[in-house]
Amino acid sequence: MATEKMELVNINGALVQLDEAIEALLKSESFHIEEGFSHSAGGYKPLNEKNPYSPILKKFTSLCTGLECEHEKGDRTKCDLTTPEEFEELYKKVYSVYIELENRRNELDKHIAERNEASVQTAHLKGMDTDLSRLFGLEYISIRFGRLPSDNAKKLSYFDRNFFFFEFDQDLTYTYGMYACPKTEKEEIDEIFKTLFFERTRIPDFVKGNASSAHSVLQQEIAQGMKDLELTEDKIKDLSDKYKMQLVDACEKLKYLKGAFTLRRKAGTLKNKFLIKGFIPVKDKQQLQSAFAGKDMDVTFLPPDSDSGCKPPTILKNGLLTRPFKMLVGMYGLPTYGGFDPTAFVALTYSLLFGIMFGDLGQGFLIALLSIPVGKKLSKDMGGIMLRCGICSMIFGTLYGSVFGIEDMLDPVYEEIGIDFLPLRAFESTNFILFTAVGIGIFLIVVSMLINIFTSFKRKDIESAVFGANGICGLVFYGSIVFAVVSTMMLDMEVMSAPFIIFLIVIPALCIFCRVPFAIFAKYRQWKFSEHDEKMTLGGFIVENFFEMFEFVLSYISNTMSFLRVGGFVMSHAGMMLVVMTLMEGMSKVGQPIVFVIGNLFVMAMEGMIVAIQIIRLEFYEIFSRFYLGGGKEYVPITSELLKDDI
Amino acid sequence: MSNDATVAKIRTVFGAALTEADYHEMTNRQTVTELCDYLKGLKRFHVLLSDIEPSTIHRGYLEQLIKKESFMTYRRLIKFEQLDRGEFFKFYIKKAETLQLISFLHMYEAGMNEEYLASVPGYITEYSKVDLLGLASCHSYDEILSHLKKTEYYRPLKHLKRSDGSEPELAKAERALRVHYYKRVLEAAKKELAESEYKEIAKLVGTDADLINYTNAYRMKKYFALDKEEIENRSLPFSRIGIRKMREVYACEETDDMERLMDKSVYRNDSPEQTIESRNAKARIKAVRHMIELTSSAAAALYAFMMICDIETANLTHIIEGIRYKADLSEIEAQLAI
Repeated sequence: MATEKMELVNINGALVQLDEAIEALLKSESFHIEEGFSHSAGGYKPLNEKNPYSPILKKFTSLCTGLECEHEKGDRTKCDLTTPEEFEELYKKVYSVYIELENRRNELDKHIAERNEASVQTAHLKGMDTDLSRLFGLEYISIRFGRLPSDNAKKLSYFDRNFFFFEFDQDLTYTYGMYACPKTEKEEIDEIFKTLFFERTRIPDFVKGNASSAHSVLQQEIAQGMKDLELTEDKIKDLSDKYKMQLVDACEKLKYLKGAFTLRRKAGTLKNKFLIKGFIPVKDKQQLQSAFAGKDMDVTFLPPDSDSGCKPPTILKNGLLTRPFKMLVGMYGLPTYGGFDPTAFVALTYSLLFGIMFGDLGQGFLIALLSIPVGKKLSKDMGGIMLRCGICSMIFGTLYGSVFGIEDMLDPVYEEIGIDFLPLRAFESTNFILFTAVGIGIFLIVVSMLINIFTSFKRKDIESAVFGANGICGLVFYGSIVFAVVSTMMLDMEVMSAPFIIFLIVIPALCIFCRVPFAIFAKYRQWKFSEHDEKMTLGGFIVENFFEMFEFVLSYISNTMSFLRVGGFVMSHAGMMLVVMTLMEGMSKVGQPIVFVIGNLFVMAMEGMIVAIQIIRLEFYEIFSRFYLGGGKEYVPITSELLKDDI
Repeated sequence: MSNDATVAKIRTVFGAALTEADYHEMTNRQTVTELCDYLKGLKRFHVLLSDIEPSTIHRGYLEQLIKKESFMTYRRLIKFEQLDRGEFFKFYIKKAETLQLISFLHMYEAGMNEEYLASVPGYITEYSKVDLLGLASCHSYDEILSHLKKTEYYRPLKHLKRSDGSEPELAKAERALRVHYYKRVLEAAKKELAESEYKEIAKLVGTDADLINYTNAYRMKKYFALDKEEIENRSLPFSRIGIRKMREVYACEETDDMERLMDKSVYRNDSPEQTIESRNAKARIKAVRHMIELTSSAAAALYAFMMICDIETANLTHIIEGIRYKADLSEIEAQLAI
């Protein structure tokens, strides 16, 4: 239940060796880098350089996109290039061929698109029998065919110019038509239409005759254009096949070099020296030392808390059984370095609660089985959690005697081995289940308080350990009330005597109420109402603590009652399966297996998910809130820093 | 009245906003055709660009269509629960009108009335009560005033008319129109919305004004070395961080000092290498994104969302221009407000 031991590392050297140092750190893999120019670094400044690999990487990525090989997997070790100039050379070599083909492709695309547009235009003109060449041959009038956005067509009437526009047709976006203007004003009018995004449709000069014949000529040109386009695309594909591996390898190498160069920004520099600061797990110290062996640089290992400007990162250290549950702990926030890691506690309580709330031998088996593909395809941690929950569900399913909702399937087994108090049927033992659920809740709350007392003492927080609502006083107060309620209401024992009330309820409550002044006294031998607020008055103190006390008492009650849901879900599961069985009985022989399978799948999916979420809620609100302090820093190995987008 | 459905819808549309990965993909494109093809593939632009032929589209028209998409999204959102009946919810139309009037005044001063006509987005004329296209026929300030006589823009512009009959200063007219717009937004919000919603709108207006004022002040200081009084006279009288704090910014001797002061406010800049425009767009996004995520007011969510849409449009325009003029795309990507 601890975190991985770390050491602070300071690396000093001449500025010219900075790249060499970063290279060595990347080799060591597990180094967590910090900023070497933080306030504690004594005058060291960050390097403010432009990354020379960024523009060339962008060019390569763009080229790979153009050659449609951006999704290929590259291997940087296969690329021998190192300087931006070498990469630029390779880029130019491929790009010069590519851009020629790309321009040709664009020209052809445009050629085909223009003719397609013209074809649409001539289709709109099909009713016009006039010879088009006659229109274009007019001596004083210029004619232009084309289309313009309908939004802009309505502006035409506002221009005080010598032109008129004939509209042929309209679709959702464009208005199709032609405009006519005097040849002497052609340039100016063309310019106006250009600003209105008029897309001119060029009717080829050789097109003679009416619109129908123009249409068929355009169709022939489109067919020829398509053939040429296909040829050009084949050439681009050949180019891609020839160079793609070289390009993607270079891309990978560039990403690495760009990332490595950006790590320079983390180093602090002073005159011709550099300083790199960071942390290394103690187990990997040897690896780092060997990476720097023989280099003329100072590598100093220090205790993790020796630099006030750097907080050590947290690596959760867990065994095989509990490891997947670190995902849930991470969702709440990492513990601080050296703090209490609750993963094992979560693993145990989560699996047990799931088993209790979703107890079914068959369904548990299916969940355990499902964990294999989930672990392989989706998330390893998720698969691990499902496997452990599935096994617990099977164990409790056996105790409940429930197999895919059939509640009497295990009866002969228990009869055979002579156990008469099992199976435990949900609807026959309602009180037992509900009281047990609350009992589990009380037990978990008490354990959470004990953990809080232990961890608070460890970090020398007397207020939380002794006087807090989850400290010794809180534990005595809560334990006494629970003991009194259980004894009086269930066991008919009279325990509420005056000394019991005074010593086990009133005094602990007063200590919780006055926890701040008591803790200040214990720490500084001084009586104060608040550590930070000098102006706190007695009235203010009483009002503030009255409401806090009210909230503490309320949370003891609500947190305990919250565990009733554990019992509730035991019955809910049994109830839902009872519905499935009842529906099944009403079906024919053919329908029964279908209802049985669908019903089981439905209950598994719906209730499984609800139970999983409810337990997370119990863990986070009822348990974690009593002892857990997040605020830890995530451990990011230097190799992962390379993958960050912003570098 | 609660408009939770509109808030939920805005959040859904906001969820489909362009991501860093989208921008990254776009800056990998080498031609406007490729970019248009990519945009056509995005759900957000698919319908609008469905009739468009990427290989023949004009860069300017693509930019206009992107702006149109923001406007049509706004129309869809206010129609959803018939919010367009309220005066406040017409704010985006009024903003478009204000920007068109400012654009006209600039072009009128340069004698480019016909170019103005071409630049007016046609879709706005359908919803605007001002005859924006008719403005192109005005050739004097009196004609402009008479054209706008029956509109709300008449009064703010009328006051600027000089007694000697000469044309008023363009910067003053621009400021008057902007002040009028923000005033109308705040007045409508005060009249039609709850107090808490009004406060949220005032915060957004203040954010907008602060960043416009800062951009202008930065330029005035850097390129014209104007003093604090002159800068303040030209700034908008709204602020989120307080007029006093903005005055301190105007009073700085150097632009670096201005930047340092802004960094101490909510408009902190995390990317020092960005231009002032990108820096402010980024600060604007940061300030309004939070509002969309947390507010329960449809008015505030919509106002904030349209601010984000305008920034997205600016980003896309930036990329299109970069591609068209063969600029360094890694540089462009670094300047985007994401």
